[in-house]
Amino acid sequence: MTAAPAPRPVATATAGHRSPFGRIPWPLAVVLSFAVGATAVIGWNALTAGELQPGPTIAGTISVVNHDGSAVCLMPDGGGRELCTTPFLQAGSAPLTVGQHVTGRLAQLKSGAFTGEVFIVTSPGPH
Amino acid sequence: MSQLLRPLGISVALIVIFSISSRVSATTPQKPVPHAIAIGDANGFVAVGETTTPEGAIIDTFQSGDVSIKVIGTPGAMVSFYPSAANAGKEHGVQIAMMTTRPKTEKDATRYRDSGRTVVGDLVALGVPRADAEREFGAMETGGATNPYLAATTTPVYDTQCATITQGAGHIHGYGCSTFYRTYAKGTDWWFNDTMKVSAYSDDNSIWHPKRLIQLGWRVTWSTNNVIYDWEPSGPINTNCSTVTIGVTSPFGGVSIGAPVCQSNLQPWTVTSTRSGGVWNGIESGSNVYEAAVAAQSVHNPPTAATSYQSAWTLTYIEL
Repeated sequence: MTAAPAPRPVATATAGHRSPFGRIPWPLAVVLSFAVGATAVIGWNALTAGELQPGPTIAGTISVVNHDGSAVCLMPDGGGRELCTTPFLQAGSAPLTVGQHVTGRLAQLKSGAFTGEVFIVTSPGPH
Repeated sequence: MSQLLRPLGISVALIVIFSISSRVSATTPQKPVPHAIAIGDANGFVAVGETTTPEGAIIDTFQSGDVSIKVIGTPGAMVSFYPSAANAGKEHGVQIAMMTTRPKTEKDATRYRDSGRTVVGDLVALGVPRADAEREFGAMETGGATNPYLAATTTPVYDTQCATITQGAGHIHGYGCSTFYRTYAKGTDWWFNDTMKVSAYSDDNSIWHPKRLIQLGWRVTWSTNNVIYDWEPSGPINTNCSTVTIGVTSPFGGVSIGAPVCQSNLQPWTVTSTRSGGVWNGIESGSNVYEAAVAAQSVHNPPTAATSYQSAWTLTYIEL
């Protein structure tokens, strides 16, 4: 009767390759660090991204209006390219007309798979 | 040794002669030919070929360098060309403007339909594969029905302005159309709905410096006293690989047009009281990725206004 062979020793990480997370092997630590970072970025984006994201304030003169005022173009004060957009007016406001000076804020409006740009008119306001 | 060198030398000489002759023939301007579609601003473009379709439409081919443009129309139409280059020669573009003026008579109003022309037929005549033409432009046949290419026509097509382009050493291909529907007529007080669509792609598989589209646009400008009643796109639309569908309304019916576009940024293109269109800005993600721009407008063509309209197409690509 012979004795069973002794189990072979299992390799262990040397002190020089030990992870800063203690007993967690360093490759797993790298993966975990990446996952934590990615979660933080995604979470921050989810917190900051809404359905309406305000943009810059624009002032200019209306150059063209469609039949019902749902589409306008304006020439920004101080020059620059013509801006064509969809105006959002406050309740009680009169429809925009060609030659009118307006001030408003551009915003990105998310709707399903699409993101459209809208122009929230702040001046002129309601009568 | 000389027995080996002699055939080798002859082979090398033949290869050199062949490559030089093919390079020369590629850059040698072709001889201009008579053409029924007039040239407005040529800017180096000349007519190099003309054919007539069975329906009586004229197809003229214009060329300048490696840019070849085919236009379909009727005698009296006019086309202008505006090539451009920027960014230290890395960006290349061309703008085409096709103008038509039609008599404002009932007899002329049905000329297009009576001739048997169709949007898809025009594009096929220009060399676009029928499957591509039906897939990309079939919706224009009746102004936005679900399966319009095959459906009964409710709003007949009044006219089309179509063109195809090949440039970028044969790697950039595009085709586009404006389709005009007359929706109302009382005497010479007319209304129109128009849809515009342009589709293009690069088949350049080069690893280094492939050519890729960066801008694609189409717009329609009407003559004085016409009024754009409604237009789309009215503002920038961003989407990632979705079908963009836009539409306009008028007192005499609406019209819509759609296109699947990846990395889309579709914007209005220089809107005035007589002009509107759409322009795509971006960069192709790879070869054979079709990009598109769509637009629609409704127009009041009052008795004081001529039935005169111009489609303009812009296409720009970059060598990365």
